[in-house]
Amino acid sequence: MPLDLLEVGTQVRQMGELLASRRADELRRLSLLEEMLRAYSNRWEELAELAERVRERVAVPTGPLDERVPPPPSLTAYTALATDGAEIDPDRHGGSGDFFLINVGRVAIPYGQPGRPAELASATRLGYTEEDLFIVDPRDPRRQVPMRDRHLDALRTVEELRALADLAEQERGDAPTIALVDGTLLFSVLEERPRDFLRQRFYSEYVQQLERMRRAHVAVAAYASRSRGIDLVNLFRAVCGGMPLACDVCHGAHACALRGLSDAHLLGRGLQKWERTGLFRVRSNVHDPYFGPHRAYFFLLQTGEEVARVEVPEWVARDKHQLSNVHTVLVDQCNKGFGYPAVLARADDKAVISLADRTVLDTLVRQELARRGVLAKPSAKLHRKQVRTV
Amino acid sequence: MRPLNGVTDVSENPLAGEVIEASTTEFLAQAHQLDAAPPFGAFVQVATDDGLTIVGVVAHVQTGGIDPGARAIMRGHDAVRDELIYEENPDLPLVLRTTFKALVVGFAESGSVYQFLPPRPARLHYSVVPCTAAAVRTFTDAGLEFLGTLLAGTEVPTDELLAANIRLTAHQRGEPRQFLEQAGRELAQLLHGDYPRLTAIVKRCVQPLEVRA
Repeated sequence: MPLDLLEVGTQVRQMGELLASRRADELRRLSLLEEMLRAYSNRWEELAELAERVRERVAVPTGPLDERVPPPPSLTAYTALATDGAEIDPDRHGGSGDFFLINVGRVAIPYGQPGRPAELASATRLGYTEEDLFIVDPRDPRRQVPMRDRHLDALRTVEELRALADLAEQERGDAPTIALVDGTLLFSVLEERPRDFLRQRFYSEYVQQLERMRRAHVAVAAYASRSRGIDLVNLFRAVCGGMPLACDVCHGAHACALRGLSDAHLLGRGLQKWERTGLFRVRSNVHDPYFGPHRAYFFLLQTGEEVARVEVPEWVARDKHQLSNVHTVLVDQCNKGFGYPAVLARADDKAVISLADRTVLDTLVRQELARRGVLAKPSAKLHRKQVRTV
Repeated sequence: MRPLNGVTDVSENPLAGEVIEASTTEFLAQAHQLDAAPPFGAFVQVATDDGLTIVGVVAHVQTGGIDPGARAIMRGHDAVRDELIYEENPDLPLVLRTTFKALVVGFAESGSVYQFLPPRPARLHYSVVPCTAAAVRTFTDAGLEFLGTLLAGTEVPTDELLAANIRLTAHQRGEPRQFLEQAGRELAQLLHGDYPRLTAIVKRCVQPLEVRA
């Protein structure tokens, strides 16, 4: 057994001790911050003004910070759409040649519409051509980046949203339709990259899909379970200047009281089950130039077990009717899915690539290569892993 | 004809399911529709491309999640019970399935019926259909040796299976009394050393269930 369990056991105990004390410390700091939150609750316009001048990605309040919105009456009929994806990276060691695979689970469930069947499907795509495997700078074809790791993640994210837009355009029902993605609308894969051809390609394709959904009048929302978002925390850091010594809240403590806390810590505590907070716009120098009318807004939703973050594009945020539908549908979906939207769970089920699936794919590729006289020889490292010697 | 013991006719639906596991002695099929497996004890058949029709008797029916790792959990709440749960979760029929296991009791080839195991098992993904009343008659006219095959079944409630099959067959043949007598004689031979078991099966074959308040 390669794990030294005796040693790990001791470390787990030490970690438990530290996590418990950190939790107690968080509660203490939250009580310190409560006063600051109260003070700023009605000065949200001042905060919003400040947010526009900050360099970091921050949350811009659109109303009082302590706004609470109860769940709207439930819809008797609606259609929920969701997609989720998984990928297999090109295997450098397998020797079966370079290819990647993207599997997107596509789900459409019509609720309260007897006679309309649900759709649970997956769409699988193999990428193997030169165009698939390399991203080329259109202005300088010598600049090529292999489609793997983060770039493949970015491609998968675009494909997920493309499939969702396909579903949205195909939807023919009369009932309100809500399209859900897992995680975030703020394409975070290449956030740290400079504004180059990679970001240009992925971001613009992503935003095109949001535009397709806007035209199809299908409200889209991203759902992040147990959100760790810190956009509002970032805004408060900007308020206090991040200098604990000069800060009224921290009273000269050695570190900022906001450290390690999330937006859910700041806003989620007073929320009753199924209530949501007000809307915050995410101001981001990375996203705003690409997103235009699809700039992301978010609210936090108390699901009973946890605080989730829900992001919607601006055209949903400004449409009271659609926003209310998103809220009530998420309440119903979390009820049906035992704390997590049922339609997203189904999409995840259809996206997952199991170990057995991987083995089948590997065998198919090997057989095809063998049929054509190409030897798929694993690298020395993989061969050594497969055949253990003593 | 009046149904016997509340049993309905099984020959109306042309497709019962699709073979998903097959061996010489049994096959497992996924029902065409959720909860729509043929009745326990009913005759079903699978045809192959080479003129062989395998005959089985439904010995076990099960409904659960399609994904082996996914277990069904309670979904009812407040007034939402029974069929309303399915209406509230239209995706359920796509993630649940009904499967049924049939014990192979014989086969038909070139117009002849044989009540012993076929040379080849059923083919995977081929259609399972309920036997029509005429097919049941043809198969049982050839003899009742298949009752011995059912009696030798393992991991199935053998006695219940025999009784269910005899009740259904008697009804489908349209001459219940005559067939029950024949089957009784066959069982008496098979179980001549176990009188209590014989009477227990025979009672299940002829007595309609009565519930007294």
